[in-house]
Amino acid sequence: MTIWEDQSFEPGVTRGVQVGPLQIWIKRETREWLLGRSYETDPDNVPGLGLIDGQAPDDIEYERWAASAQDKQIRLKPALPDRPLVAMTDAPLFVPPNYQTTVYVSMPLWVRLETGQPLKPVVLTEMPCILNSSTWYGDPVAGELCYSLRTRARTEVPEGKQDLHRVLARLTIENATDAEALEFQRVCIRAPDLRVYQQQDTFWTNDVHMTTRGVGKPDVLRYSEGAPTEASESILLSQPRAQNKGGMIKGGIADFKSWVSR
Amino acid sequence: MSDIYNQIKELLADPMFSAGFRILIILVIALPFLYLVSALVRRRVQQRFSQQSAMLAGKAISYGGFLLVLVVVLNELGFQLGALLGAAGIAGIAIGLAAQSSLSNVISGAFLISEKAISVGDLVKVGDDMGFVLSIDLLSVKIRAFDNRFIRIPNEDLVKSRLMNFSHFAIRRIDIEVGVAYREDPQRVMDVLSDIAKNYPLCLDEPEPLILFKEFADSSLNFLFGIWCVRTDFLEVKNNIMMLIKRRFDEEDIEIPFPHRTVYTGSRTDPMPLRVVNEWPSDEMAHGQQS
Repeated sequence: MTIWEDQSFEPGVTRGVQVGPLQIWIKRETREWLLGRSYETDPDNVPGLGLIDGQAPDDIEYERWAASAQDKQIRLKPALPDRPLVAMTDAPLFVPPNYQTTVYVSMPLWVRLETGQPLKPVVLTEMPCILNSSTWYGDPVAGELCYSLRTRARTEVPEGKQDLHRVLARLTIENATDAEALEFQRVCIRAPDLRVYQQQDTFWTNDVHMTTRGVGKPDVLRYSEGAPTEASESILLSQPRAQNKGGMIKGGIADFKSWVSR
Repeated sequence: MSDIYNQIKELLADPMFSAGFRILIILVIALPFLYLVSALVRRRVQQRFSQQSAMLAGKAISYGGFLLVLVVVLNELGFQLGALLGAAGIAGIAIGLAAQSSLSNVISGAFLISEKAISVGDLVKVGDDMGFVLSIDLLSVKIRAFDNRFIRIPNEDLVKSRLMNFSHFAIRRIDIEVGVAYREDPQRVMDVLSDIAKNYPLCLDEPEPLILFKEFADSSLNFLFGIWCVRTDFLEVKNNIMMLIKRRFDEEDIEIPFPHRTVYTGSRTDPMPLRVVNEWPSDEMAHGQQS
């Protein structure tokens, strides 16, 4: 059974689900759900996806959710983080003037626990597969609270099997200036605006296209409407949290100091 | 029945009664209507703007409406508004002279609002008073202190004095002075502090934590450790980060010294010479008696 299907629980049943380093513990009482989580702390031992054999640790803290006696099914759905992500590259990538490039950024998956009908779900809680630290995107006077992410920002689709607790985003960066090279070192990916797709064992977001027009001018952000380019036969799993369609944004890719004139 | 009807007709024909009746009708209709409009406007403005703006809009509607109702009522009572305004002009000069302070507060309040230096709900410090802004009114600002004291600060005082608003920006930096013993390696200390910030979830990765080797003080090497956090996490971060520093310094055997003085005998390397003069004195010697 895949973990993304509806799961039935009788009162008194406890079940564990592994999603990468995240372990989700679900306990059903007569009129409540008890939802808990723990994380694998060994970075070299990152389990995959599946049900857990064994008992929940004793020190799990559970959230209590009221439930009707008839409501015995719970559903896990993949989702994206609830805040934008500031992805910082290990090494900067320079984009020449009038040039565009594509990078692939891997983001942590979140798991949403729902009950109710698929078309009218009741979201109980959400859990990140990886705990990212917080960061501020902008200056101390004005900005936005985001999650921090380190990325290699590969220019090719990563080879091999992808981690099942991560989502790949295809980001096209266009430098629309005539004479200024763009030092791509940090990008703010607006995860709440993206959708989640699945093709085979890989999760994807819809494509993001970001155009920078120079210092002092807002970037232009566009999202693809359909499936991602690299996964044209993927199925849609989750809608975006926010309904932004893109538009002009300030400082989407980098702060202005990172522009290099040639 | 016709007697009652005639009596009512006579009453209504009476000018005084008629005016009073009209005034009553005006008040019964106008006052609830004014209250309703004020509440609606407040709600709408709060949805689109801020609680502060909603409060101001509501008060503007209320005060303006009351003034209009007053003018209508006075008109019904037969007062000549022209003469009344003339008299009010003269009275206004007298009142203005007498109420300079109040007028100053009103004008200062208008400046405060236009500057947007503070809003309802902000945490502010004015002089020795610190607390949350409850309201910004015509004459004064009301603050609730942490211990639930109610503080009223005249607007004039606020405009003239230095005001600190802790809620204006979304993030804040917590500055901690850390002193370590002279024997410690400064680079190692800075690395440990950096690691503490990196591993603490509520510490923001950006803006980057500030770690500054500040000075060679009398008893210690002093560092300034500044970490950024979301404003609402300030207290929790302040407490936790101090505990984390102490715990980690203990684990790394980094000494936090207390103030001390080192006394030299003139030579840097030789210890201070000591000579045992006597054993611990006997009771007789201790009490000043010769043995």
